[in-house]
Amino acid sequence: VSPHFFDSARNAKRPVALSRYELTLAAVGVAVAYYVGAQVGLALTFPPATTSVLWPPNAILTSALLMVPTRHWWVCFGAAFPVHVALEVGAGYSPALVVLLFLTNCSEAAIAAGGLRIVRPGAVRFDSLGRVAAFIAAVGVAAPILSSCLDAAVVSLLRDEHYWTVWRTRVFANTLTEICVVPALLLGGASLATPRWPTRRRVFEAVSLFVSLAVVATGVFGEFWFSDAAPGIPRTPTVLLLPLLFWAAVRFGVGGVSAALLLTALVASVAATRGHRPFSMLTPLESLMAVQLYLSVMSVPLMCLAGLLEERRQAAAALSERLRFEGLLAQISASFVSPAERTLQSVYDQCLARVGQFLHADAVFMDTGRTERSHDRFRQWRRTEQGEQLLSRSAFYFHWVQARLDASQIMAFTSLDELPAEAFPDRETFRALGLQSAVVVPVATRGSSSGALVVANQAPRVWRELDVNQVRLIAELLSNAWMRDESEVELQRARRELARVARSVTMGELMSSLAHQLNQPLTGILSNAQTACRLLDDDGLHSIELREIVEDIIDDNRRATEVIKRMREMLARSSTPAETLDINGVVRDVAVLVTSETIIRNVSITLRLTAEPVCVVGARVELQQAVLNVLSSAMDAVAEREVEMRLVDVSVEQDGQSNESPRTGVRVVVRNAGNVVSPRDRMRLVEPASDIVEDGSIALAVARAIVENHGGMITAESDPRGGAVVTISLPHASRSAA
Amino acid sequence: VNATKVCLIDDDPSVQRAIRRLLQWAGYEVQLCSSAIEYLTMPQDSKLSCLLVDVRMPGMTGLELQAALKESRRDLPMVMMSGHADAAMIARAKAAGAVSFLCKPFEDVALLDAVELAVGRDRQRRARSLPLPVQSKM
Repeated sequence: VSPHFFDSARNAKRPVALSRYELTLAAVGVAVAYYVGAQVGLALTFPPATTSVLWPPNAILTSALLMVPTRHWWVCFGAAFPVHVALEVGAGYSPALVVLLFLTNCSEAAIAAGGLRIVRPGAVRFDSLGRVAAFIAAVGVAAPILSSCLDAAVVSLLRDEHYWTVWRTRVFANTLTEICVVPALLLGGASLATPRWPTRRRVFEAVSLFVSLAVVATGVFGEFWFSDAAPGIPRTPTVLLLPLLFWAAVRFGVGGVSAALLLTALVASVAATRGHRPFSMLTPLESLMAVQLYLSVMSVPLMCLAGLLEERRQAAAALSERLRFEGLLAQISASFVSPAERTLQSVYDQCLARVGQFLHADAVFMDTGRTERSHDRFRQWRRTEQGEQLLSRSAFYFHWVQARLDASQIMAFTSLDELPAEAFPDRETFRALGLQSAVVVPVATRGSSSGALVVANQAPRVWRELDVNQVRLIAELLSNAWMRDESEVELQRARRELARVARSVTMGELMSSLAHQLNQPLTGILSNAQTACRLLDDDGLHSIELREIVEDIIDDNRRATEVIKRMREMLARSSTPAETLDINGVVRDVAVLVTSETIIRNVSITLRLTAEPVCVVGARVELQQAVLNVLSSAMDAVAEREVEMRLVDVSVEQDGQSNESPRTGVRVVVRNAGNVVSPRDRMRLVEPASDIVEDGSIALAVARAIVENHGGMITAESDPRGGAVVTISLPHASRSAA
Repeated sequence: VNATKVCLIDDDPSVQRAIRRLLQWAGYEVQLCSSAIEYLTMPQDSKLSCLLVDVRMPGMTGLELQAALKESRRDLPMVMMSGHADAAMIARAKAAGAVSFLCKPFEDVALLDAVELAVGRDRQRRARSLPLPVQSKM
């Protein structure tokens, strides 16, 4: 038996072929059941009539046909034939009659099963009004009526009985048996296939129902003690059966109704053969037919009622499961709303635990593809009370499964035996994990190979299509969330890295300028000091000159110290903690940093700072970097202009006046008289920084990232007077503290 | 009175003063310029023996000045100085005829040796060119 593959495109199950073993089992089962049924039927025959009043073999054959695929029907017919021949020849019928009666019986089963299959393809179920109605129409009405025409013809020809009498007896008998036996057999067989012990209370209820039904039916059809107890009641008070039959319909569904009717019919038949006569004014045969008619007619509304109730019950169950599932999805989605990077994995673990509990699984694995950080991408959950050890990613080896995943196939298998021979390693892996059945759903990943969500159980489990669909939805949700979060985290990481790289790139450029700045005072100091030594060696009176030299040395020293201090601040790699700082100071510091640059490029920078401090909250070095980058861009913009136009204007502005209105925003406005804002520059302020890494000049993008991290924004506009205006807006310290 | 005259072109006043002091101590007469443009606009001084030029200056760099002087045949032996020299820059300056290249900060001996070398080169040049009239190739 191959595993059930759900073709993800059509989501249709392939028809399952039966193995030789299963066919043999079916044949033996049919033979035995047919024999037992025929014995019952023969015991209930009223000689001299050939036709039995209750003939279960046809219903048994119908049930068998409905249980096996159409292509295996011949096995059932073949198994039933020798039994039929042996029994009927033993009962003294002629061989021709026996064979012909077998054919008419087969025709009934074939019409019933074939008709139902045509109307309702797929497995027979009694869980909706439509299905029950189709069953009654095909199996209970069409098959007995049509086959009885043939049967009556055979019997009337070979045994010279009255055609319509035979027809009528057979139709009633077969309708009743088909309706009574087939659902009971099919539902009983299905519950045997997936054994689930009913609760003690339910067993008690079933036993009480059938005992009371047996008692009441015996009373109604056999000994008439009711009439003595309550004068005026009809001789056969069939109405007394109704409450019990309703009980069966409401509490035990179509199977219950069918079993209850079968019991009633058996009791009535047995009572009749013992000489009791329900409907006492009729002949024995007629009275039995009246019972059959009564029960057949009763069965239709009762079974429809049971089907309707089952439909409602299933709809309610489906709705509640759906609601539960929606709840699960909502929970999962909610838990992914901006979790911190470090808690992300525990969020996944919680989600997998929820999924496992919801689906009653024993293990859930999620693998979102193999990359260099594969250990991050593999999460698992196992039911802890089983004391299972969590296994490492390397212990998972699903070669065969992976090939199917890469072909976007969904896999569901009830047990490991369903896996084909070539899936040997996969089977061993599952076995090593103590898992028997699983649903494996492909999950989209960034890598080349597909990831998977695996929901597995330790015991064999039949996966419904609903389960598989739920797993698929969950997988989609989880993988989306996973990828989104990963890209978020990835982006943050990239931004930080970018800012650092950009700083060191800019630093590299600045290094030469800073080295120059540093070398100037060092040159002065060295020259002055050495000259001083020479002057001292001369023993001449150079005190005035020596004093000047020493003063110059002190000044140069201060200059060098200042340069070094700034350089160290700029090079500080880790982001400094936020502090309240005066933006004027930041601008001033940056202006000092670019002094040498302005000299070389002959750019004139005008600072318009405010008299009183304008405070923002932020990391000094980062804000310096942002202002520096904007200023460098402005200098680049004017560098190609004629010297008079190489002007950059930096002003610090503040929203609101100090006393009247609250201060809301702080702005650093950098105007240059050079080029207007290029689309490229605008893009750098709009596109995510990571997108333009390959572009050499990332200064503005970095500035933007920094300013946005501080809750501000950067805008660039063309100045109507020519040139461009780049504005860094930051929240005022009083605002960001709030 | 008859001291050798050198011209120092550097934009940093502190460096200017320090180098001037050293050179004066060594007996040179020092002319100060704070930019290449200033030197170019200055009346030509035939007494100048050599130039001490910083490479990185606002407006015109030392290397540009070197090229401009060569172009106008006013070239004197030059000592280049820089605080951020690299091999390419040194090679370029040397190829363009610089006598020495000093990396800031430098030892006083290095400066004095370089200036002496440049002055010696100037003396040779003057000795070679004096008997002959200066010819114009134009």
